[in-house]
Amino acid sequence: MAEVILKSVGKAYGSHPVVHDVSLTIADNEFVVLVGPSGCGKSTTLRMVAGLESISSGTIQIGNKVVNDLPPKDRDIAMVFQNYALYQHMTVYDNLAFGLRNRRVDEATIKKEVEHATNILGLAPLLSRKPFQLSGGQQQRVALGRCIVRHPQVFLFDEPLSNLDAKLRAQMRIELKALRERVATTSIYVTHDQVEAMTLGDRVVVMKDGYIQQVGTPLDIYNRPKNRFVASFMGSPAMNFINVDLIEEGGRTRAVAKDLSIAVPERQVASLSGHGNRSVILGIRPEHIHLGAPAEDLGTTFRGELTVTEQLGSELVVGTKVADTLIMASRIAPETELKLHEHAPFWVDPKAIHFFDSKTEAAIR
Amino acid sequence: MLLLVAPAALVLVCFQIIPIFIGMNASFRDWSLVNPAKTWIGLKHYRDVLSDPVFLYTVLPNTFMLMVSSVVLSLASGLGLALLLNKPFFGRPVVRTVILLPLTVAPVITATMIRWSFNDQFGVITNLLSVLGFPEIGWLSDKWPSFSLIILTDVWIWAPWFTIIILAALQGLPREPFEAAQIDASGKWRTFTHITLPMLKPVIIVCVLIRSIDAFRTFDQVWILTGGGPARETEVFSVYAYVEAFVHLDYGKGAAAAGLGALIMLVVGIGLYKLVNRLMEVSR
Repeated sequence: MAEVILKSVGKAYGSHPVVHDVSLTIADNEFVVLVGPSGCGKSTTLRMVAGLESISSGTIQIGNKVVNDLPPKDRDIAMVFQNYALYQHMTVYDNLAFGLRNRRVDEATIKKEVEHATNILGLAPLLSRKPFQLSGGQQQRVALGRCIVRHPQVFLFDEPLSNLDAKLRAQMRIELKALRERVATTSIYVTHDQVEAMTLGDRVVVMKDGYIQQVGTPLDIYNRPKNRFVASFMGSPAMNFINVDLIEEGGRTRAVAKDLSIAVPERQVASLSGHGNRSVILGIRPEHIHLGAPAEDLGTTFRGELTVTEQLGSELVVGTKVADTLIMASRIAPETELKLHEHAPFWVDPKAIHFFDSKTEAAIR
Repeated sequence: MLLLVAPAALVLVCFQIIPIFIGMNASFRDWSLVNPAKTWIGLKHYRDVLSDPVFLYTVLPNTFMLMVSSVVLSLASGLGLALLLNKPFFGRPVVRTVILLPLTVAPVITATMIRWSFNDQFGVITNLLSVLGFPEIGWLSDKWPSFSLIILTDVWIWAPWFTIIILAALQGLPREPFEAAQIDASGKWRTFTHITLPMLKPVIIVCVLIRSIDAFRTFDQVWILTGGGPARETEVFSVYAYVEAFVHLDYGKGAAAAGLGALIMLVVGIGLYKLVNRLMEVSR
């Protein structure tokens, strides 16, 4: 159990920087997810905490110790790799015991620890098997077991579910969540999957191009994205973005684009009027665009031609062309009968409208 | 379809199958240059070879000794070199090329070079050793020194072969288990014995299998270095068959010796193959 503190951590390969000035404090027992597209520096950051990559600048502290120059074995961390990284020629038992044997733990204690871990993970019947005789999910469980037996101060996860198929991934996600309750340890989890980030993290760190974009609780990140990138990365289907001009019309501020004119909610008028540029980016999540007309006139209706529909069984996702942009609307009742290329009315929930600066792409609040 | 394999089949029949039958036929006959009658004598040659004390107590032990020591030593040095070359250092491409050079030299040339290097009067190495104050050794006139030279030559030729194959295998190994081992506090030696070697095992086993069968028929080095001497002390199987057939011109006995060798190799080969299969199962 320990706090992990990253202070202005940077990493460069030669003159090519990949991680810039990452500062982050992870509380004891907190589960933090680093999320971002590939190449955003999330794995490199994790590997620097593990000691598998050297740190070019800044400091990393685990517990009360600065670990910059400590080898991985002395950092008291355990890591789960994307491709499991099991020792293929060893049995499951030996895989779990290897780290303890290297640390000269006596066999009786090893046996106890292995039993403890296998009971948690349901691996007991597989102890004498070799990794190649196990399914992907079982192998990943062994990799988790290898961490649990050691009781490290920090768990590091490097995209542990990426190699599993979709169904197994969903199942393992739930298992990981349950495991968290049983084995409380400070954890850093790297993923490119926003669903994993949303469901697993106490806090989520969104990264892009080696910079931290936003740190916050999953809901905070989802509802109050700091910039267009965060808004687009979290959520599926992704948030819709439309370039709009702000104009005053009949005493109300409206966001206007071709085929579209949406009344700006009162609470946002002040921050927008303080904003110099009248051309901004309007952001609306697909689930906040509804088909049909609202009960009362909100001034947020528009019409658009249906260009694509996706029937998901539980919901219908509809794409419509507005202002030369494909706008997606989700959570439409799956039974709704729609004809492609017909024009349909839509309305936007005014409580869920976001604006971003068209140059810096930062959220305007 | 049959027509498509016909050219290859024809070559195989003409140059492998027919000669094997001619050879087998010869081994049952009194077939020599001085006796053109080719009298059928049954298994006499086989009995002769198998009751020849030189074959039983010198040639066979020598052959297996050469096989085992050459394979073990070239594997060990090849593995060592591969591990060294797997780490980046200044001038690595040059060293890598230089290490491969022995493979580009014909074994006959290599053996000739070694023979001259160890020549008792003009040899560079013998002279160097005597300058350094080492006692004089009859490199090519005593059994064990000359046998060591044969092994040394074989290792010199074959270690690079092990090096390139093991190096390729090393570079193809996934990085993650080694990183996991680092986190698992595994020291360098323990990582080598518990992670690297087991991961290399399939490749090493195949190399050993191929080289063992190949080493059984080593001829050039022995023939050039010692010719089987002194006094047939370093004779190996291939030299024995060659001498019978082409020095004593007793084709029948030579063919019988070759046939016996093939049988022995068949048995050894099957044994090795089974061993390999079992080891592969274990190492997976």
